[in-house]
Amino acid sequence: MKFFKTKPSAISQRYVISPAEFDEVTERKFPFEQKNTDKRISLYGICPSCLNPIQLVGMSSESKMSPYGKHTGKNVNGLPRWNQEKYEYCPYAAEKNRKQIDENELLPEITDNVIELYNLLRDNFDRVVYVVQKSLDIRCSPKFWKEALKQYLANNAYLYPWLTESNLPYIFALRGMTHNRVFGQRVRIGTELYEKLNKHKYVNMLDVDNQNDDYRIISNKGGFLNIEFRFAGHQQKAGDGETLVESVRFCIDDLMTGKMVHDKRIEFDETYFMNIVNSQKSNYRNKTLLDIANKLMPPLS
Amino acid sequence: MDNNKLKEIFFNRAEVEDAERVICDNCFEHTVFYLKDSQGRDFSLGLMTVLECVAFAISNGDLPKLPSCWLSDVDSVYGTDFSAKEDIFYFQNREYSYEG
Repeated sequence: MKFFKTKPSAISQRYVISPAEFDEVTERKFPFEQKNTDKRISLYGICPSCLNPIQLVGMSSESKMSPYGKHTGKNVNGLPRWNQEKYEYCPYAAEKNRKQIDENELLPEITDNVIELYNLLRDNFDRVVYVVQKSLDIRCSPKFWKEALKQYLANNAYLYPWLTESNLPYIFALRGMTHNRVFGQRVRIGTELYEKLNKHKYVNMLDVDNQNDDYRIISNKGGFLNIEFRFAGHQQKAGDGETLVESVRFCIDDLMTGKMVHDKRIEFDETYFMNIVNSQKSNYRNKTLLDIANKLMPPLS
Repeated sequence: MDNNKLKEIFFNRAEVEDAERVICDNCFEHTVFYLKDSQGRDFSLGLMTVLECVAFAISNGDLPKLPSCWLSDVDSVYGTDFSAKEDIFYFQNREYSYEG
């Protein structure tokens, strides 16, 4: 992997694995730099996904490879205890050790990690919605997002084993938005999605408030329009030294004809959501959405 | 309510004057009908209310049952739950209606 953490928390900052960043963030202090029993000095961090100890390699100037992290597979002094189960769900785990994604699987119990990610969603629901809308070129109503959140919670999606702080918005779409109606929501003009929808025999794009903004409302004319969002096929691809490539299939189905109106694989940006969460500049918050999340999400126990 | 009042309401039959498409993020009422009663008073009636009246009439036997796929489409678009009312539908799978 290309990132490391210094705290075993789902929401703590990720840092780039590079000599300069490592020096600045850790000051080479124990346990991140430590002597082994054979007196060799090794560099360590915490896996950003499964929060297990990782060794940082390729960090010297003589090294021919780019710096990256690899799981230690065992306990390291001063770092979180090695957790084999969490490792098996890690997208950075070696292929032979890694559990294949099963979208129906849920963790059997609520852990600290689950609580952290649940609270992250509740406290940043407006930002989750922002990322989803931006990624999909849509804008949906608060009522739509309230129903999506209810669906996410009703299906205990916060127990999805492959949920992390970096894929949270996309997993929210996967489990909360899927099978919800497209009618009445807004799509950005000039996008591939807009063009596909506009070709539909019964779709009529409306500019209701004459706001002349970049979005149109998906309405109908001349026939009954029953189209819904569908998300499926969550995939993760990562290897030693590689950036994680995570994606999900974003589809729109016409339930009257059984055909797909839109089908595109969306790749997640690994750091986008948490950059917004951690940014000092993002002062604008959507109180309506935050109120919805606060009402629907009592503390987990 | 006394009988005279009931009679007054009963014979104050409203007629539809107009209908309008609505895009409302909060209520999601798709169509609203504009009605005028026999006293010339204006009021509105939402499509959801009309559907509830139809469901009531079906369950009372005053209208024939609807196919389940029709109700399922309505529920899907309007977020209603008519397909849970077992006394108003008969089971029928959707026949795909058009190519497009």
